[in-house]
Amino acid sequence: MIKKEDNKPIIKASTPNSKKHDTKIDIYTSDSKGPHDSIHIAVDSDTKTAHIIDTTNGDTEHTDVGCYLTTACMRHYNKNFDDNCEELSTLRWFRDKVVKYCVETIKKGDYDKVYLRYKAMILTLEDQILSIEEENTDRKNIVLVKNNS
Amino acid sequence: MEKEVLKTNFLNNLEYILIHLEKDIDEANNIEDKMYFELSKNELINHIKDVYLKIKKWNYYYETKKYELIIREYKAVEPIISELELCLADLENIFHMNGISYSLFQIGKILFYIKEEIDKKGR
Repeated sequence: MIKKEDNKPIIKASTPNSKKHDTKIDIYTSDSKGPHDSIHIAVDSDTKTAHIIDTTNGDTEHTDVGCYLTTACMRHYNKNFDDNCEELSTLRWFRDKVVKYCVETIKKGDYDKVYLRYKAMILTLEDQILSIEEENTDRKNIVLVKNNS
Repeated sequence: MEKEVLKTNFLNNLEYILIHLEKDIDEANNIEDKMYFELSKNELINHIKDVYLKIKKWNYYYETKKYELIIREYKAVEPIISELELCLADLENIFHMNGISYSLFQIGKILFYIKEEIDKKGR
């Protein structure tokens, strides 16, 4: 589990120039220009598999996972894991409705459509996260906003 | 965001990237000849050199307000840095790809603001 220290954890997403993985999610424990740990999740959205590189336990740990969302939730909840928990349901919705839509539209070459969708989504998320931070800086959950496509 | 703040942030992040990429070219020449996740040593060297040479010109492009050129190159460079970050995760202490990738991400946000301003002005 990523520890929240003096600096806030940073999460970003990118599309690597990779033959196998079309999406990558990076999580840094703090500003990655200084001392930090990180988790990289490289996703193949066609097969819904992922490769996780985790440095938060001191060493670099590589793990191939079938369902990366379930694995992430299982690691977090351990014995209390519930396959129908709210976080997993929301993340599955986000994967199947938002990420899949964007990847398929990019494959069709309709970049403007994806850009507009991405822009609207990020701005909404940013508003949500900023308002959460203003209200309560210790809140750990990020609210995913369900936009209708 | 203030124009001067944007410029300072852009140049600070650019400087960080260039300093580390320059060192990384030397470091990549000295690593063991094997596969690093998805990339071979030669592919790593070529990718690092390629992005370094592209990004090196961004200071001049920014000063001469050739923002569209930076945005176009950003779209080409970002996926390569993202892959390098993945492939060099085991060697983060040597290559500092997380920092480079995050600095590039910050530059991407600045370019987003600039593009919005350009679009508003209808240029």
